[in-house]
Amino acid sequence: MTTVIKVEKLTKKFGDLTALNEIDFSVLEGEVHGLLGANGAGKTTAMRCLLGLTNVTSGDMYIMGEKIKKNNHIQRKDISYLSGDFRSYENMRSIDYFKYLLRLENSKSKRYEDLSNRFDLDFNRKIADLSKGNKQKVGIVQAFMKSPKLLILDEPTGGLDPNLQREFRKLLEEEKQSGSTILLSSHDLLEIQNTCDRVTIIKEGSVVASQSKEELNRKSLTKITVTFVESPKIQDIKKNKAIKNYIRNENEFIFYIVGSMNDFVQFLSKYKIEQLYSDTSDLNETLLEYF
Amino acid sequence: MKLYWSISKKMYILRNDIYQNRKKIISFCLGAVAYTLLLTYFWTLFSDTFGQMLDLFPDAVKAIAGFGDDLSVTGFLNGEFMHLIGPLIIGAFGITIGSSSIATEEGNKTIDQILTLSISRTRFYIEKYLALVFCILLLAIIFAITLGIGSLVFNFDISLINLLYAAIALFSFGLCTGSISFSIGAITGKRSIAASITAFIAITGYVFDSIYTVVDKLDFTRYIALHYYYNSNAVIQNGVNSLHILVISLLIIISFIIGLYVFYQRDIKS
Repeated sequence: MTTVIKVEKLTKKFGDLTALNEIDFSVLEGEVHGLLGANGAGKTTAMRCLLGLTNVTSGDMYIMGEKIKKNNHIQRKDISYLSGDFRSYENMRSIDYFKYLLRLENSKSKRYEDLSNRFDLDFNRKIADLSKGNKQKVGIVQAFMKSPKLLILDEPTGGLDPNLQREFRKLLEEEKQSGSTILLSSHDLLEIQNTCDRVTIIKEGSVVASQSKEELNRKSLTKITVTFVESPKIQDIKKNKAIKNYIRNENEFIFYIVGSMNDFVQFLSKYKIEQLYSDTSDLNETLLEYF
Repeated sequence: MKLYWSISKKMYILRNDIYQNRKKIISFCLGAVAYTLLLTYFWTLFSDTFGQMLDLFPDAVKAIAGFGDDLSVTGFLNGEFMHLIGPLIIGAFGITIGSSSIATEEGNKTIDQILTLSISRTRFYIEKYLALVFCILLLAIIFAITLGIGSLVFNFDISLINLLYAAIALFSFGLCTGSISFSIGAITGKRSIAASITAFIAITGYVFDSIYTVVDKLDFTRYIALHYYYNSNAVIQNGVNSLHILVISLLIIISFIIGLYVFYQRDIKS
């Protein structure tokens, strides 16, 4: 697969503050790549560097194989951007805003009509008269209307109700199927879990993980609740490598298991068990560890 | 002409900027028309006694107010119109449009979506600047045309060449204040800073230009006063001083270039 975005040792400093510290990640063609991190982790800064809105202190970035040079606007021809804090000209009607953006790139696309219908957006109304959620719909429509090869979406679902969030995820899936590559930042773990193929996790300006969802799932903790007839020895629990953590409530223990189950099963075999059940792996739990 | 239309048709940022500023443009233009017509009407009321009125004032006050020995309509217009109210209106207009041009887009974050399209920052800056030039030129022309209409309606003599001088001087002053505030807005991304610094430059320029005529020790201040280069020559009476126009043009060009250079280099605020 072709690499659409490649970021190498990207550093961005604002005065004494290091917003990004030599981060590396890459986004493959046709994938939905999640950029995950807490507020202030550096997700937006990384995206703004890619888009040329923010200058980099050091490091290299490549989009579709071309090295990003300062203010190289030609590279943005096939890119769309949606900010979580999307703003547009309040005194314009949505339709005029869409036409304005399209004209700036000499595009005659009419896709905004379908997208507006899909998201139930009345594009003849002035943007100032729209609710926050509807304004975000304007942002979504403008991001998708030129059918870009690369979509950079910075916390795009803020302000959308659950139904529209689901519709938005469907749209992402369709774009992916049609060959678009999507870089999506979020601190919403569910959104990442439901939409992304691969995830890069940024913490305090550094990449702490960049893996496929499957790899992350493999590393996920499995939660097993066991009720023993007699309480097991705490030393046995602590010695067991598979048990990452546990919670005790008299004879009932909730174990968080990581890696191979063999060690854990051996441990259980020493004791009489009244009840045992397991929860499915939860990516959220794993992701939360990185926050 | 065809080339001009085909270029201007594609200047969507310029056109959008004018559209966004339409209320300000209309307000300032209506104000300019109303004030100029009122002034020309006033002239008809006291044109015969203008000389006697001026005699009531000491020479220093007359100098500060921009009145000289010319008792004709051009002398009146130089003091009443060109010295104070004309530059005040067009300067305020230049500062309003210039400071809000890039800085407001950045403050409102509408700039993000535009600069992430396949258009360059240079194009964005230049089209925004041309919108400013258009707005100021429009107001300067409206001032000149209204003066001309006033002269016809209220029947006084003012030559076309004097009107042209007035328009050139007002345009140069408005564009200079507009360019400075535009440039500071592009450099800092902050409208309030752009407007306040430019207003300070314009007002101190007026004060310096007025005060040097009555305080000999402060004679040097005129050289740092924008107002001096704008109208010390009593433009509507004596025509444009090419050296002064050159100084103003240099200020415009320098502020344009510095603004573009810094805007091209800097981060857009998130």
